[in-house]
Amino acid sequence: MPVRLFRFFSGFGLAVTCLLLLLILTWLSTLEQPAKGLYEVQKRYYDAEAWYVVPELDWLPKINGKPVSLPLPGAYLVSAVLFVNLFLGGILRIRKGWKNIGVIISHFSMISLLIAGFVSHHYSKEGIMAVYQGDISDFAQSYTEYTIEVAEIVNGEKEKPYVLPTEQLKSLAADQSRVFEIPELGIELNVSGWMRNSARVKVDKEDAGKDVIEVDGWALQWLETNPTEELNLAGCHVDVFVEGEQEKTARLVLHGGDPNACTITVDGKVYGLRLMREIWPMPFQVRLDKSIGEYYPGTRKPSTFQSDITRIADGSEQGFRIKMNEPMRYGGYTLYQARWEDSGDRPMSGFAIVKNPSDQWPKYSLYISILGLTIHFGMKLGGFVGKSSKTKNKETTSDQATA
Amino acid sequence: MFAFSLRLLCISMFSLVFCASCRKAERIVVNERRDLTVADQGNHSLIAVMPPEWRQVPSTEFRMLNYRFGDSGEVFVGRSRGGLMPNINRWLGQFGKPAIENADELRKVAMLGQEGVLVTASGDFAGGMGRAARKDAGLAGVIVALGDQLITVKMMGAADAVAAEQERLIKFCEGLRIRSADSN
Repeated sequence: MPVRLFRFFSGFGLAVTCLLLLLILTWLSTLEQPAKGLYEVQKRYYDAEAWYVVPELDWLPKINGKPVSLPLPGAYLVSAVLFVNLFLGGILRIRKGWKNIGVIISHFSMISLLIAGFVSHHYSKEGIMAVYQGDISDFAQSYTEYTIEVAEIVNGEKEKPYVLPTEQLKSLAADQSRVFEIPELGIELNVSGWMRNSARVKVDKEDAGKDVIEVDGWALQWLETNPTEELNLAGCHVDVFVEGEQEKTARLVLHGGDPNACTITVDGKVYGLRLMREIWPMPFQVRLDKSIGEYYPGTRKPSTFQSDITRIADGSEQGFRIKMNEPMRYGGYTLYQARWEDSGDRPMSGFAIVKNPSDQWPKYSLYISILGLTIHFGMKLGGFVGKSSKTKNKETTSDQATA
Repeated sequence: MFAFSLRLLCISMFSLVFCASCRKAERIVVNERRDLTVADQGNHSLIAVMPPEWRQVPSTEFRMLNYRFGDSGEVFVGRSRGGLMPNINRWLGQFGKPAIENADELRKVAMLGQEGVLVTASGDFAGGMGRAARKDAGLAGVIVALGDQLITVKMMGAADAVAAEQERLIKFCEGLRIRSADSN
């Protein structure tokens, strides 16, 4: 049994199946992207939790008016199986020797490529730092991921906030609730009614039906999800419980578009709760000294932009110019200019900030792959040339002998 | 070998479906805190110390700071233009009160380093600025001139509730301050 299992997982057939599945998944997800949006498609096809995916394409054949349901394994799962397969088949099972060294190196490069994908998927972070000319910023904000921050407000100023994990919020279904306990504050938050896209609407207490949760004259309205995830404004209801009490202390309606927090008071202390896109503090500050750009004629789409910035870190200041395709790298962070606007009284530069520990690994994997394949095909070519010349010599010798 | 592979594939599929149906933990302990950044300074330059009896609600286009108290009382901080007296008389007019000539007779409140005036009224509120007409309503508000604009702090609600909260409102106004560049 273990031998058959080993053969199955290290087999050539499984490798081909995985590669074909990855090809199909890439193709289908690309076709779905224009209608569903990049974020949604990535989540459905490539997320670690997307064990399987059912493609939703208009041209799929229909039975009784309903499109055929064709479940396929998720790309993450297929990649994991491919990793196991390559490791068992390409490293352990493969016949070792100088003749196969090129193939082993190539297999190793594919494994390292998959590891790079894994590290990037789980440990990379991306956000945007928007700075107006003359201002200083020290944070990036996620494009898409919402969190709820809870902070005590002392003398009108916010203390360091507690951050609810984004994964645990965005995985909430509309009819699901989840309890977040903050032991140091002695409070529990029961988050429910999660809406990926919503609007805050004014309602009268008297008019609010049984199904409408109204707080201070406001309620949430569910909206269709926008394919451009950045435009979606999440919303949820939060019931606040004080440790040891059965009755809830307060109910809040939180909306992603709110510019400030809603507060509760517990034992005379004021706490602010805000649903917002995740904030990511930077270990340096960026002062935008000059922001220059141009729009395509008659549009608001920038054709070119560049920014002169000063990076302030560890008590020292250093000037940089960030241009298209010319980022600034510092401390494992990469700053690309991704946006430019000149609609207000001052121009604004938006820097995409990426931290990816495996940023350069795919490049190195490709170098290793080139090396492996060069060795392998070089050896094959050498063998072929050697064999050909031997055959030629043999033929020449036999021709001379015949003559 | 083929039959074995097929069986293995079926087992894997069932395992996957089972795992996919597993729900995440419904109770999560939160200990993670993040450092403060310039994003935590808010979208305006005012720092307000809110009485714990009030609750802050989201600000709107015309309300930089927005609070509620009791069942239906509200307090909001906004900017206005048009001069001190026209604004005082507009507020009074909402309660059907006669206009006044000058602000000398009004109580003075120190706010944002300036001397503001306290405007009070009660009775039937005629409605306005998106709010419905209301009987037995109360108003207490402070207006202060700051440069070329006015900063207003207005409290509205049931007449008795507003009267009970008036001293808290004055304390709130006195505690308002403008964020300096080195704050936070």
